[in-house]
Amino acid sequence: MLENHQPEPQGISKRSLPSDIPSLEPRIEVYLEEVCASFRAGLPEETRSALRAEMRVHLEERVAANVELGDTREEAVSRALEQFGESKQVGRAWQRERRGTLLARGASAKLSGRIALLLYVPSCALALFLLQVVNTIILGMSAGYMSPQTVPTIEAISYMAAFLLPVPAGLLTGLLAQGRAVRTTFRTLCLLWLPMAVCYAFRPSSTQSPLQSAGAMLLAFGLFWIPIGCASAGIGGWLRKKTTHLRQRLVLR
Amino acid sequence: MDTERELLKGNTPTLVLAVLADGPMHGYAMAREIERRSDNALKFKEGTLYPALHALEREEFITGEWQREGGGRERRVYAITPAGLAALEQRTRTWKGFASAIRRVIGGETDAGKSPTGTTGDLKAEPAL
Repeated sequence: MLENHQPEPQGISKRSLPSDIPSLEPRIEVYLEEVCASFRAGLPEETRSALRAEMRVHLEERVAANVELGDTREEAVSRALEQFGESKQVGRAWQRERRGTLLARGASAKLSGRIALLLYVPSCALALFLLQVVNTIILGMSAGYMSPQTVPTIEAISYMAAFLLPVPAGLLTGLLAQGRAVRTTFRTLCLLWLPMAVCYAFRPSSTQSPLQSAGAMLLAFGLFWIPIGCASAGIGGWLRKKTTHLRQRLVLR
Repeated sequence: MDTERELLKGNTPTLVLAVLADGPMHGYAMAREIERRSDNALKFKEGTLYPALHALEREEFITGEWQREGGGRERRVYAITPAGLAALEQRTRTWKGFASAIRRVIGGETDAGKSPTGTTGDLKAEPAL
């Protein structure tokens, strides 16, 4: 192990981003500019700046090591750049990594979509079932089989179907999906919007016309399920990031 | 030379994980450590280390954090995660199996690492994983 290059356990402050101070050596900056051109389009400014700073630190350390080995400053910079690799070669490596990221992101979006669908389809089915229970109770009341004391039960079930069911599904989507949980949840719920309205419109022994039922479901789904589901997915995603960050801190300690 | 470069390119993430398994490290130290452990046999272009680090971080095999050291220099220090350790174990197993198979085919060696003629073959520069 290179003990002198290990991070010191004491006297270290941890930061999320470095200060992007250009190198005193213009050749290093020109070189970094060339390398960074290869991933300019694909990464946010903050990440690019951090990567550039990281590579700059590496190059400066290599220059210092080369000077220690007896090179002049000029030679040390040339050798450090050579050891780091041609800018085109490093740029190609970044492009390969970028392609890998895009593929992984596509796969992760697909996986998130599957997770959301797997969680929301049963939730929707349960909501329809609960609404059917409510409908049956109302029919029973109007036929005189049930007492008006069942009204609070109807309200509780209706609230559960309208407000509570999208919450666990959204939270779980956020926690399990690798990213883009809110977007994926929104897409999934949009996909389920119409089928839910159709299923609700043609439910057995409905007291409303199919058009009325479909309209009510479209409205309720749009007003409650989609915003509540997306917000829950957002919270789930946030929790996931927080726990990941906590894990990272523990590992680094 | 091209074959060597290609082999190294494909195995850079494994080398990085192997080096980080011994403790957190920054990019420059990793490059030096790989060179040291391989007796300078594995010399790769250091700039290509960073895309590999980025990919490993994306896969959550390693984590990176900027740290300011005593002298005021800021470095991004990487540490291996439990998922990274598991991946390293898997890759090491795969690599050992693969290297052993190749050795048997091209060197005529047995599993015990000796050729029927008693020579050890040419794969001395195998990365220390």
